[in-house]
Amino acid sequence: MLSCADARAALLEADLAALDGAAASALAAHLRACPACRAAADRILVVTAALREERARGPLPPLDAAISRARARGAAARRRRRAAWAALPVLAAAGVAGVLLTRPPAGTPLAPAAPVPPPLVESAAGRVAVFTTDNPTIVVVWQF
Amino acid sequence: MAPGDQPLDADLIRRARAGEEAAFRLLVERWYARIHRWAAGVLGDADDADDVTQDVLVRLHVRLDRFREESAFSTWLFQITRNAARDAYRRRRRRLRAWTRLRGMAEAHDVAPDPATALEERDAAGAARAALAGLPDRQREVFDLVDLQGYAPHEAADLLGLSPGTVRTHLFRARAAVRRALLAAEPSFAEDRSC
Repeated sequence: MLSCADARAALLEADLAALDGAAASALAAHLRACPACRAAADRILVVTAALREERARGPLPPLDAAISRARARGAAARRRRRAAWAALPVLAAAGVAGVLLTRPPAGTPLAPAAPVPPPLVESAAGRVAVFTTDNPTIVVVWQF
Repeated sequence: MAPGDQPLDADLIRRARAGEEAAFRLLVERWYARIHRWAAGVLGDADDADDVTQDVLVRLHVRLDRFREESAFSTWLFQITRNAARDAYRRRRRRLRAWTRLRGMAEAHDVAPDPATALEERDAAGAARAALAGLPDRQREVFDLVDLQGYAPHEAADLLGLSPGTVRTHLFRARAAVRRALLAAEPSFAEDRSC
């Protein structure tokens, strides 16, 4: 027959059905013969049942209200998803356009060129400095 | 339809996908309590499961089109519920950590435990509850499904996508932790090692 120490160790892992002492097992035979281990097994059964009750307690939230909210929020989620998909081509086009507009012309060296002093032109209005920019279509004329 | 002749889930899903609201309602009605209970299992609290259950219904409404009948509907729905509950659990933990930090700053010198909580944790159910809450997620889920919800270990394995052997390992570890804690909370069981 199982010793009490072995029975207490087995109690820790046994299936709930085995704890009532009705099963045909060494643990069940011990529980039928030993009141102290029987009491420990009963305590496990009672506390497990209490935990089960706690988790399942209380009425569920009203079903009709929950379904109405699910429909409304589900429809809103679908609208948001459709709007995101609709906006995707526009965002992609904007991204491509941005890349094309900011890309330097072909053949432009990647490293910055050494600074070149602006050419100075003497005119009747005074001296004029002409600055070029990275963008070949933009030139800054400075009169002083 | 004859009395007791319930439509199958697959039929309800097909009709709900086609936009038949009555079929969606029937489907939800059939699974509502289980969704709530699954959520409570992950969260450890029936009250917290209300919000998650609502969230799952929204996800079900939006994603029903995506259900492929490669897996059982119960497994698919369980995964949706589990993900929603775990999201909620993580949010709750973040809030709790923030609250604990604030409380720690405000009450740096007040470290005495709440007497009511201390008393509850000394009782066997309180000790078991605390041990259950402290288990790793997988162990807690398996314990809840098998010992608290009554699923067979192989059914829990299907729902969780684990092998039956892995489920049994988690189950034994969880049981041992919870039962050891509840027996230790009562001196008559903790000290009476020989009989």
